[in-house]
Amino acid sequence: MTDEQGRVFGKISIIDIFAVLAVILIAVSVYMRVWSNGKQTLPVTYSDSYEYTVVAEDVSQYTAKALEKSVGQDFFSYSGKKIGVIEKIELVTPSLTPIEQKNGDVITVQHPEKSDVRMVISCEGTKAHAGIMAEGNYIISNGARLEFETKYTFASGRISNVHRVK
Amino acid sequence: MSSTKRVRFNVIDFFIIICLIVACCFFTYYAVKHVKQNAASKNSILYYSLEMKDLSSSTADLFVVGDNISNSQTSLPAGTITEVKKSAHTYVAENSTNDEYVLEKDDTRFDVVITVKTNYSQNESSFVIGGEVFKVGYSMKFFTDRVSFDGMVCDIAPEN
Repeated sequence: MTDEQGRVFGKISIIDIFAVLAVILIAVSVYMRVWSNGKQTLPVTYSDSYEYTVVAEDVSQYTAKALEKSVGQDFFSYSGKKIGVIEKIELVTPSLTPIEQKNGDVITVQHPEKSDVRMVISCEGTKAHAGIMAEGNYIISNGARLEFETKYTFASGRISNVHRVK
Repeated sequence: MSSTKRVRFNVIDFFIIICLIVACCFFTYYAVKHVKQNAASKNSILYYSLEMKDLSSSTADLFVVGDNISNSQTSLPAGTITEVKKSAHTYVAENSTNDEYVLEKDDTRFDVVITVKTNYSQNESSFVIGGEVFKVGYSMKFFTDRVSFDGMVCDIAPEN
């Protein structure tokens, strides 16, 4: 099959074949890295639509307004990966914050500048061991804290009411 | 066997062609990206507001409509001031008689909100101004010819 100079069928050197294969592999890996923009392509089947609630706590009036502007737009984890779409803002209520009374008791009162914002997020996802894998990017679980961002702002909140939508 | 020397397409030629294809792909990708970003930033106007709290009267007066502001970190232009709102400084205080938090005013200090007009580009998750991502809630350093300051982004409004 190979001649005395290592050529396959007397035509192509085996070393050359390895060199070409190496170049092709490098080109493919560069393509995957650059064109996928750092995103991992996971073989996920988006079989179900889900909704979950995120309550952003102690946000400023500016952040609350920016979240209202973000309704209908994409919702991202803090690392910039899409994890759903903001369907609606259900409720904006003044944050409760502790205050110490003269007798030493601590009670909670409304903060005049901070709000809690309750948002409903929809996403495509698959069941994961601790919740759902939203958009193939992030595991959403009841009770978990989430640092998130929208195009307009960022905040953190707690996830609840993860459920499938029929 | 023919005595004529045939020119063959050898493996080195393949190697060179593959290198050229990869180089062309890179060039096209970055050229298209650059053109898209330029097109987006040339035609897109955005207004954003910055809030500076607890300033002295003399510092508050250094914010003037028409002044250009720059980002201190990148030294790149960040727009032109189109509006300045000056008001008495408000802060959260504890009202011990009623056990509640209230907003108090200090008439000797000032809060200033400036609106800035600028060009911008954007990616999937953010607005980008002068190479920096802008989001409501970010605190950033800026300067004008008159003053350098820390401002908190309190509104972002792209022009339709």
